[in-house]
Formats: sequence, C-alpha cells, structure tokens
Amino acid sequence: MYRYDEFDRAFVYERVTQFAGQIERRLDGRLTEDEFKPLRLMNGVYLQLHAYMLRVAVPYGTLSSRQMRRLARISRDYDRGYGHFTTRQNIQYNWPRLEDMPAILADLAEVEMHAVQTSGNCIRNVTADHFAGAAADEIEDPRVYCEIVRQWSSLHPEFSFLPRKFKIAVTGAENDRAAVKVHDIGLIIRRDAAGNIGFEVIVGGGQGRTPVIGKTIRDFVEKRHLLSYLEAILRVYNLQGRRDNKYKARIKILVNDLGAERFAELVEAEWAHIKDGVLDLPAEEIDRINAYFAPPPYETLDAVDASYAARRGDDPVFAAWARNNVTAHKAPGYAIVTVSLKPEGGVPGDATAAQMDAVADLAEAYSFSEIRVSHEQNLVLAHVRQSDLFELWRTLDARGLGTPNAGLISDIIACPGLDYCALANARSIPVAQAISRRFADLKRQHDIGELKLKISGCINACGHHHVGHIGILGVDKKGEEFYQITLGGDASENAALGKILGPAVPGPRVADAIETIVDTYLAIRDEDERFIDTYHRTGLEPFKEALYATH
Amino acid sequence: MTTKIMTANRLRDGLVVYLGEHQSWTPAIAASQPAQDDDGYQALQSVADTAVANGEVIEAYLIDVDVDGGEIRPARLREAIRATGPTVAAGDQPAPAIAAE
Repeated sequence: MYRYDEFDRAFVYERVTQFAGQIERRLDGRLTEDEFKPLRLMNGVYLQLHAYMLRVAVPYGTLSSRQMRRLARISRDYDRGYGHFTTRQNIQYNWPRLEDMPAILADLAEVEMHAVQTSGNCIRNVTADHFAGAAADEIEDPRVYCEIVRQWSSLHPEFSFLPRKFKIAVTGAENDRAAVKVHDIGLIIRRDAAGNIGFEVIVGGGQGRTPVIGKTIRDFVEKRHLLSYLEAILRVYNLQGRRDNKYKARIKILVNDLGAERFAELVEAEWAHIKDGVLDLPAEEIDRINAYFAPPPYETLDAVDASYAARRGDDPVFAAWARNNVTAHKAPGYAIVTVSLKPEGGVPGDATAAQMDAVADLAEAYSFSEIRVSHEQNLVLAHVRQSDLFELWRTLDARGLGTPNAGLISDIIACPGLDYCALANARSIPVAQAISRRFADLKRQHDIGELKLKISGCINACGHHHVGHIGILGVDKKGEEFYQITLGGDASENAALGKILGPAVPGPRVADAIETIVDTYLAIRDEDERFIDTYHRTGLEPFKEALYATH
Repeated sequence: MTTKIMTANRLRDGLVVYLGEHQSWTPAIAASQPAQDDDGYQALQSVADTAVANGEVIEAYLIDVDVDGGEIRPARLREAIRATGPTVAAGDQPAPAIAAE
C-alpha cells in the first residue's frame, strides 16, 4: 500500500490545523455561514437532512486494517456506531458534530487519511477496479496510476475551482469493474501493437440528469505522458466548460456540444504545449510508486487447493458463497473475496463499527492486512489463501458479512436517498430493503443469476440507476414517492444507459414490479442467458407488456 | 391559511431544531410554535434571522404542518423524516415507527 511521504503528511496536518481554525472562527462568529460553507465543503463536510455529514476519502478504495479500525473508532467516538460506504469508494458518517471535526480529522491524519476534495468543484477521489493488483485479467495494477493522479490533483492550484466536480476512474483489466465509461475521465490500461503499456482515454461520461457514455479521444497515451495529457484535458474543460448553469457545467456537456473529435483536437493542441515538460513522468518515478503496490509475499501454492474443493462439496451454503463471492486470483492458490454489505433487508453499504473491526481483524489474519471498498458498496479481501476460505466465510457469516449474493439481485447499489440526503426526492433504502426481502431466497437468486439492480433517490444518480440492468429512480409526484424503472443499463465494458420501461410506479408496488420483470425474464430466457443478454435479445417489450398490460 | 413552523439545524452539531416558545430552539417538533398568518410567519422569520446571524442555527426555513388534536405533523414526507429520523435501521438502532411502505 502507498504510505505518506513528508509532503503528504505535512499537507494533511496543515489542512487539519487550517480547518480547525476556520471552525473555531465559525463557532465564535467571526465567519458567517456564507463565508464558512465553501470552506467546510472543501473539507468534505456537508449539511444533510438530519445533521452534518463527513465524507472521508478512501483513495482508489484501498484501506489498511489499521485505517479500517480507525474508521470504526471514529464511528463509535464521534458518530452513531456505523458508517456508509459509497459508490466513490469513500465512507460517509451521518451524524458528526461540527465542533468534533478537528478531532475527527486529526484522528484520520494519524492513519494517513483525510476528507479533502471529497466535495466541491475539484478533482474528486480517483476510483479503481476493486480487484486491482489481484485480478487474473489485469494488465497492470491501476492503483499505481491512481496514486500518481492523486498526487498531481491534490490541491492542484489550477483545478481547485473547476466549472463542476470532476471524477476519474482507472481500470487495468479488460472486464471493467470500475465503470470507467460513466466518468468524466475513464482510463483503461492497454497494450499497443508493440507491447508497450499505456492508457486508452475516455472523456465525457457521466450519470446525473444528463447520462452519457464517455467517448474515447485517444486510443493510447504512453505512461510517461499520462499527467500532461490529463492536464491538457482539464485545461480545455476549465477554460471552455460552462459556468453559467450548474446543470450544464460537467465536461460531458462540453464534449457533447463541441463533438468528441473537436474536443480531442483542442486537447491535442493544448497537449502539444505541455508535453515533454515538467509533467513528464520519468520511469523511475513510476517505479517508485509501483514499489508501494508490489504484490504481497505470497506463498508458493498449488493452483487449486484440495481442501477448498472438498469443503465446497460438503457444504452447499459455503459452495454458494464461493460461487458468488470468490473470484479468481492471479497468484496460484489464492482467491479474491467479496464481503457483502447487503444482508437480507439491510442498508446497502452500511457497516457497523463492530463489522469494520471484524473485517480489519480478518484482513490481518487472511489478506495481508489490506481491504478494498468497491463502488458497488461492498468490501473486498483481495489476497486470501484458498485453504483459508472456509474459516474466513464462517467468521464473516457469524458477523452478518457472509451473504452469498455478490452480483445477484439483492447486491443492490442504493444511494442514501431521502432518509439522509438533502437533495433526494424519494427514499432509496426502503425500496432496496423491500426488494432484498422479496428475493431473500438465495436459491431463487442464484437461479436468476447475475443481475445488477441500482437505485437512486433523485436525478443526481448517486445510486447509478442509469447503468443498472434494472435501474430505479425515485421521483416526487405531488408529495408521493414514485419510482421510474429502467432496463438495460450496464456499467461494464459494454457500458449502456437504461431505457425507461413505462410510467413510474408507487413506492409500495416497486417490489411487485421488479418481481414481474424478473419472472418475465425467467420465462423467456434462453438457457444460461443472463438478464442483460435476454434484454438485448428481446428489448423492452415483453417486460413492458408484463408490467403494464394488466394495470 | 396554512399553519407553519420554523425549522433549522443547530450550528454546533447540525441537529434538526424547531423554533419554540420564548424564542428558544428545541429538537422536539411538539414544542414548536405554529403560526397561522403572514404576521405570524414574519415573526418566526424575524427570530430565525437573528438566530442565524448570531450563529445559533443555520439553514432556517418555514415548513407547512398539520395540527390535529394538538399534535404537530409536517405536511411533507421530507420534513416528517427530518422530524423523526431515518425511516430505516441506522447501525444497531432499529427503524423508527414512521418506517412504512
């Protein structure tokens, strides 16, 4: 894992001191709320429905056991004993007191964490494939480049007041688990014809009220040019992005208005000025950062552990968990484990302090003390010996963390919605819970197979509903909660936006509607056909017919 | 006219409060001071403006309420959730009574 150097440490502690002073001046009246609000937002402090909310950055979703324990302690000492893991791989606390913020941020700084750039019109936490460094299908570990981008973008003086927030995601694998095509910039690590490793650069993707699949503006950028090329993109956006209308201010609008080709020309022209300059990334610097992400000291093991295979044969519940929550690892004899934060009827992404401590303990015991947060709001133990999987699962299961539903219909992404969020129009969590309970039968879930269901409580789409195989968007109709259903969205390498199925349905009928859609799929699917593939074969019609014909 | 009360968030801890009697802010919506006409709304707004200026509360605004048998209930779901907390379990805390589909 990356460890802070003296620059990182100084910058984080300086920010804690600075923000503590700003809070003191706010509390004693020297700063008005209008003066203070932009300062608190720069430090990840929002005012939500019930209280302040603090969003803590988890860079590219990687945490140490020590950091996870600290997150647990903060939730106990300063909050209400739980936290919420988000689709930007961050954690949010829902109840911190403003007067406690300096102490919280000092506690975070001690474990090399902070909340800087988790809000505001700046470059936000860079996200990555949550299986980075472990995935069998990976060219290189994307976190190396996420860290390089983090260092470049942190407090970047030119990009601290962009037209709007800016989100970057990086994947190193062919299977896109980081949703790179719905980010302002998506980077895919690629090999060129000569075998050199670099990046495909995608711009202008995003969700929100104007969902767009990003467009590739360069097939290949060499590693050493990564930062100068990103800087060129940000400069064009910073100069030409709209500032007169916040709903038209994201880069996707600019790319759409100019056209991707014209936007690319402008980037190339800007790049010509700065390429081979101070932002050139020397191989030694890449190697230096790469060393932080060196593979852990794996044991030399057989590719397949016999005891693991035997346990799966003996215990069907363990076998179900292994089938869904265990993924192939690049190192022989190891596996990647998805720790579900989606128990039946639970709050997607929430973890109690005790669960955070438990995961920290398990990471120490079984996964080289390293934890990942996925954008799908689960946790990941990335380097587990196959021979340890059974014991690990038993411990997870005893703590409510062993639900064998990764990638299934109850593995729902849901934003906090109207239960917490000041922007929401409708609740998301109760809808997720109702669907989770409706499909509680795991045998049924496994029969349904892969199905990505995502729920947002407003058009800002924090719950990624546009790219759900089934997407659900909460809307307010004259004070009543209604939910618009979309089908066919996809966050993977085959990125697609869902299409609206028909009129929105009232909240109490959403679970019924989803069941109708799923039953329709089960009735018309070909053998071994996933939901999304059936949708591509049939389109909306059979689902629309089933859902609305009798209404 | 519509019955309204004044709500805000307390500066120090961010928690939801309501303007009650004697210009005091209370977490209990039952203790809030309703107003039924423009003069009443203006009186609440004036107290709130002072409290905002003094740094006691932030984000103060009037909300519509229904008063039934002495019970004060927000007219909109958003404010009902603000008044009683999330409708879902929070950490180890069970969901409150408002939770319902």
